[in-house]
Amino acid sequence: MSQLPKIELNSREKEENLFYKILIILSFTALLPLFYTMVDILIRGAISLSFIMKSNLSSLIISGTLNSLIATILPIIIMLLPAFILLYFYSIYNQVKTNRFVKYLMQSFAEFPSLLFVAILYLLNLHSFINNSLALLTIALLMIIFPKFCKMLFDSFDEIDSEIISTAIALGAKNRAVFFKIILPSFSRTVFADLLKIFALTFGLTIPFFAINNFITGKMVFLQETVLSEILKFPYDNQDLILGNAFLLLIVYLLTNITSVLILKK
Amino acid sequence: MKSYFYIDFKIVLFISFSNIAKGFYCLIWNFSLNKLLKISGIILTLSIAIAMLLPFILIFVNFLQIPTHITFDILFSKLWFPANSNYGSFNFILNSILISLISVLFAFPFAISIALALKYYFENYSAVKLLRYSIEIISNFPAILIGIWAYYFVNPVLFMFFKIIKPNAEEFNLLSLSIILSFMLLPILSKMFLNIFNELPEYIEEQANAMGAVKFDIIRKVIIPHSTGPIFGAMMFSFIRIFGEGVITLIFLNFNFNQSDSLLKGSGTLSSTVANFLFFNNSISQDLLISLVIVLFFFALVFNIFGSFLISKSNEFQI
Repeated sequence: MSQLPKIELNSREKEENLFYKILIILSFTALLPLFYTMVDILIRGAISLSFIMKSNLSSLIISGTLNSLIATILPIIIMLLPAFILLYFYSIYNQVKTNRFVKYLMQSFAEFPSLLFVAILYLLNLHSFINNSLALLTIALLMIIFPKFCKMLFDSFDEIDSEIISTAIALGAKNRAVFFKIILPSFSRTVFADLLKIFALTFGLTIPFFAINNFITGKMVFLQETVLSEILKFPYDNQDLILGNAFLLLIVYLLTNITSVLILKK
Repeated sequence: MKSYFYIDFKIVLFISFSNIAKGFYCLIWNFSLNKLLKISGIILTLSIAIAMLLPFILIFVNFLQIPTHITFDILFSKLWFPANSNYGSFNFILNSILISLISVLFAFPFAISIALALKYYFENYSAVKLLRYSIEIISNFPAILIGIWAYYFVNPVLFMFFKIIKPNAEEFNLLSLSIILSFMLLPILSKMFLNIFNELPEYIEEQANAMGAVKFDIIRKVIIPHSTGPIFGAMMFSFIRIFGEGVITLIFLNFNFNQSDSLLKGSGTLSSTVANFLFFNNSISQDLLISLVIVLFFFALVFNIFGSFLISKSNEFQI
């Protein structure tokens, strides 16, 4: 059997091959720990949850999940109207300098740490006036997620083909018609995906849920708050409760995020 | 005939007057409506900006009322004896900067390789598309879940490793914390880099290809130099995300106000001190909290503005 002649690689091709191998190794090994985290929490969490649901702590988990869901949905519903009004002006008066400034502002606020917002709420002493954890939490979450959601909306709007809008205006369409009949329908799917993403992001925030329950006397049980308080107080005694709650948190997070990615993919 | 002409004239006059009136009405209505909408848009944007900035302004006003010697002692002194009202937090700030820097530098090579591989090498593999979606899915992974995993499973392994290197290493040390924070940062940073590479105009790659450059050359000589600014911007956003991270630092450095010089020892950070104060109402003074919040705010503002500036400098980019 005759052997094929061995092709000699030049130095550039060798460099390219080496770079390719390094990229493969780095990119595939880097994300492994996070995937392992997910799988690990899913398996251990499911086992722990099955134990917890048989015990008298099941009501704590159910009420915590429901409260967390309500507390997450409430600020999202409240922020929808101002966010869309802002989007209306952003899209209709589409001036480069103004829009860039508004986006710049939202981007700067969107990256602020949630701890900072909670600390500011504490320093403003709002908890002495509002002694309701749900109301205070809604204010805190609104402060955190509003700039993030606006930034998402603006990014989605910027991806729309601007020629459609300019054509509609040239054909005599009014501002409101352009917004409601062209802009909104063309990215309604993206808005829905963004809403799901923001829901997942809000549900994953722990600092506001935990901090605000500590500010006031009338406490509510939240999923995130239970996980953090238990891990800080009794990390090994209540491991089942912690992992069970973490499992629920992960399931909600994954479901919403996967749905949003699937919507965007379509 | 006369009367007929008279009636006709009246109708013409009426129609013309009504048209003029209608024209004026439309002009005024449209003008005022457009103006009104524009003004209300500006007012709304400004009011939202003010509503967001108001808490910070109030804190600055509050800050000005504090005697300056206390505040500067808090920021630049290393003395930490709460019993004697010595709240020097210079080491906390330094620790925060150190762990953020280590995390970003640790995550950077991995993140950029993921982004480059997904954009330029694995484009056509359908199985690898899953990796792209999974980065999208885990980009906002809840910090508490990483904290749980780190507390129970990763930190014991890291501690065993560090114990071999340095026998007096503490279980919850700053280096382990930075490594775990870099895991959290990895999908966020890779998503940002991927967005940056996606926003690059295609013609620069095509032109380099036409000149006979291989992919490695294109990446090294065209892609990276073109996106250096946004890459630095993304790294700044990541830095501030780690700088203000409260959950994992709290799990790791719970009630830890030590001020050690070694990275293999547990020591308080800026965010862990603020979180400890907020969550457990420790007997730390209000002045300290305000000063630390202002430092946190200052870092967040400067890094965010500079990061946004680097990204928006070239119009194409958005992260």
